Amino acid sequence: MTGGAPVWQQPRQVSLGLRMLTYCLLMPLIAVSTTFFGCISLVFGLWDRSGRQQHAIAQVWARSLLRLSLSPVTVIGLERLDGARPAVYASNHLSYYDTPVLFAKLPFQFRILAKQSLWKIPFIGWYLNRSGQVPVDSNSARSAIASLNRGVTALKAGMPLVLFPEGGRTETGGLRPFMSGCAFMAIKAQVPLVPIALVGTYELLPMHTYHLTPRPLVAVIGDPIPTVGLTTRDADALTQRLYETIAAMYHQYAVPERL
Amino acid sequence: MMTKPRIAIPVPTRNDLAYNQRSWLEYAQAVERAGGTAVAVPLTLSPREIADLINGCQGVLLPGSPADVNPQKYGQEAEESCAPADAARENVDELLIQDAHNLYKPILAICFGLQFLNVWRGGTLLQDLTVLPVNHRAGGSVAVAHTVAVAPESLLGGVVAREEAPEEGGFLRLPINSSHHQAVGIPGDGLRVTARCPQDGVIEAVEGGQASEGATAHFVLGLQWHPERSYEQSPTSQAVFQRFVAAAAAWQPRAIRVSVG
Repeated sequence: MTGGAPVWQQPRQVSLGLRMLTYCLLMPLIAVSTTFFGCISLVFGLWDRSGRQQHAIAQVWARSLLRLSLSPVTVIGLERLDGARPAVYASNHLSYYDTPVLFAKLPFQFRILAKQSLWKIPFIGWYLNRSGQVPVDSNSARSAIASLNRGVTALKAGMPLVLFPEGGRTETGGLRPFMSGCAFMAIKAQVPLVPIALVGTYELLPMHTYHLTPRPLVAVIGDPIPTVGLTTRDADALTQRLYETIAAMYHQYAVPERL
Repeated sequence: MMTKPRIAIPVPTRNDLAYNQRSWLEYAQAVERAGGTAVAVPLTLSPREIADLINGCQGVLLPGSPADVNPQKYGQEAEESCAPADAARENVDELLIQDAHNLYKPILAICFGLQFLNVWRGGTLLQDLTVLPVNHRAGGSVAVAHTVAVAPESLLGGVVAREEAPEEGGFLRLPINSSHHQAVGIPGDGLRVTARCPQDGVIEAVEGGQASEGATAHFVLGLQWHPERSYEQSPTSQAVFQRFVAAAAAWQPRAIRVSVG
């Protein structure tokens, strides 16, 4: 699979002042916010079995991180969603900042699929566990199937799933090949697959860097792709369609002069 | 065994996705447990697409909403307490109610759905109940907000589980949840009041279709409380959905002889 012509750029060398602001003020505040809301969420997790209150806390946390990033977010296509029925929401993965953008801007409760190793980290792992998020172990085929079935169970109980089908962040800013688990789960649960393209978070905070380059961000929500009548044999074709849709949406909004 | 009746349920609001997520599934699950199939009616569809969707359904469930009915539809100006209207939801409800009345499809209207049905039938609403002694806006976390007095000789009276609602003074006393701040003022044409709050007289249930072949030919039931939230605990709530789904299963397309009248 190809990602089309690359329109991303190497991040510019940012000014010393901005780097100092990031290191001395923004990053410590991000850490404080994450610790603070993480602890609150753990307390709520003692009784909040539906996860609704913990999700509300995660939304406040995500909004605080977006404030600290000094980057305004535009959401395009939110009117395509009504929230009434569950769906699988699949987004490209450019940066650690993708998760706060999705939590802050998707106005309903959802579960996330994340790599199993995160469950072993103190605090974060406890939070993921208590709030009912779904672990994925992509190293072994058998446990991957088991985690996909957990996702299908969540969908059938009415809980939307949000995931990154690339399975990890991009190092270059380009789209990596998709795994077909999201298509598999959407088909199994007979719920729509909703493509989401995030634009700008790579330039804000690329992999392996630790300072922010504030800039406008865009989250584009595509038309839900129905899965009614599809079987798991169609999963690869559906994944391909998802890939092409997200790539097209990304390139439509990643105007080079805005980068 | 005939096929499961399909029940059209509009998505509750145009803009409040979190509310839609919380509530739509509760209605759908209650319908499915009672033996029906829930069909979501998105508010973004064109009237043509909605018509196609309704044509495949045998019953209509109008759910609650945090919005209030546009007061101009019953000849009043909005008071300060009146929440903003949701035009998209009202348009969809209007199409569903019109179709159900033309073809005598069963209607179960809950909370906002009841209020909108009442206005469609020419009735009015009371725009705010907060001054009353009973806490009608108790909300989803209060299992029993107050009791209602149900007229025994009515569709609802026949559905209410006697062990849950003992008879007292000629009325069945049913404990209910409550989360609304408006209520039926003047009942619409052909709607009979069959339950009230005994303390303040607030109308809690109405019923009655407008079938020209007799009032019982068309199942229309409106409840101001939320039976879908108490489906697990309340035999009455289960019976409400079971009767509604059974009416939809028994529904036959009516040969229309008069389109108006």
